Amino acid sequence: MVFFFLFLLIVSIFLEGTVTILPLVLICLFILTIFMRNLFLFILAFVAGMLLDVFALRQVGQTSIFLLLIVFLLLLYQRKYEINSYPFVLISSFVGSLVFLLLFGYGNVIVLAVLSSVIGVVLFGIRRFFVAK
Amino acid sequence: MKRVKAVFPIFLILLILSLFILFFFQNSLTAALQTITLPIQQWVFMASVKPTGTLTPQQQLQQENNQLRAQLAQMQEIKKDDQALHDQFQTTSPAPQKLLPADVIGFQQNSLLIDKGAVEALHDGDVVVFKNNLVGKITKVTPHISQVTLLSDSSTSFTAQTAKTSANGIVRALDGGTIVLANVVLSDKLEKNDIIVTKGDLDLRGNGYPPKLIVGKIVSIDKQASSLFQAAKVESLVDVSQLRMVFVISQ
Repeated sequence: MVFFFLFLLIVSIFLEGTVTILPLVLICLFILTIFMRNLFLFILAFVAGMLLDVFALRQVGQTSIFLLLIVFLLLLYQRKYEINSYPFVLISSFVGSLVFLLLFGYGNVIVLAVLSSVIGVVLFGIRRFFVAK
Repeated sequence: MKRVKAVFPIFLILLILSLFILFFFQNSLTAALQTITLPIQQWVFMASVKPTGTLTPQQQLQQENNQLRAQLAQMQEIKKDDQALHDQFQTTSPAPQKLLPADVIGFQQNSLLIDKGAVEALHDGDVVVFKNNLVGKITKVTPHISQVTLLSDSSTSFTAQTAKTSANGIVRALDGGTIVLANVVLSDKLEKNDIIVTKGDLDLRGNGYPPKLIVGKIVSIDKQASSLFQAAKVESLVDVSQLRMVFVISQ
């Protein structure tokens, strides 16, 4: 299942860099962080951020910094909060997407953030469904 | 606590590395990464946009209609030029322009990404066209990729006129991406379906919009007797989301 989400992350990088402005990479990284919870996530955040910056013609490094901070915060607070839950995924992906979209100057931020959080919850549900089976 | 301690050094190393790249290795790294990722980005974009061959009959008719409108606007311009020639026995020839074809490799909110950049001598402010339709202006240039800001972006503002009635105004984009021809004096005549063309605002260096590029057609008019100006909603004749190739007018 982890490989499926890794594949999804790679696809998201290309989609976000070409045809969509939805923060798909951020959502995939959220889900991966919730399930994987290891140091490899930082490498993923760093590389994905670099590629996204190249694709979206942003200053290379700034998305990496944002994604690294998000992964760090999630790993830091995993003991304090129950991160493996629907409410957490819904709220954190909404807030994360909102901050991301605002920081990088996109329009329609609320709509996009809501859409992102819905995608996040759906992906989280898929993962849980297959794990339960 | 142990886990936090293990996480922190990795996070810190990558964070410092990101900052280092951000401040010191910007151009070289961008150029190197773009060389690798450009073909993939191009392929993903081509695979994700609908091919032109799958147009419905209605879309084909619409496309044909738009082409005819563009030709009509061109004819009107030629007629005007011809009239001017007869009247004044002279004409101004526009400066020779170099058109550089570029493939579209990305489509984002109010902007396009094209596969040409500083290496091909593109500059900030170069105008991008498709046939004789204005697509937008280059606003960001990197070694191999450039960003084209479309007319639907709120930063758009340039002078234009209608092809048929020669009413002057300023083309702007509203927050929702709607393009309008604003600041048209009430005495000027605006007609539905009339074509809007650029008036031309080139400076001595050749920066700015060249004249007679098609911006779009008027779809509705907002004229109130109590207002100082009238405005018209403009619709582009080009479906930007379907564009695969554009041309850059390099300075």
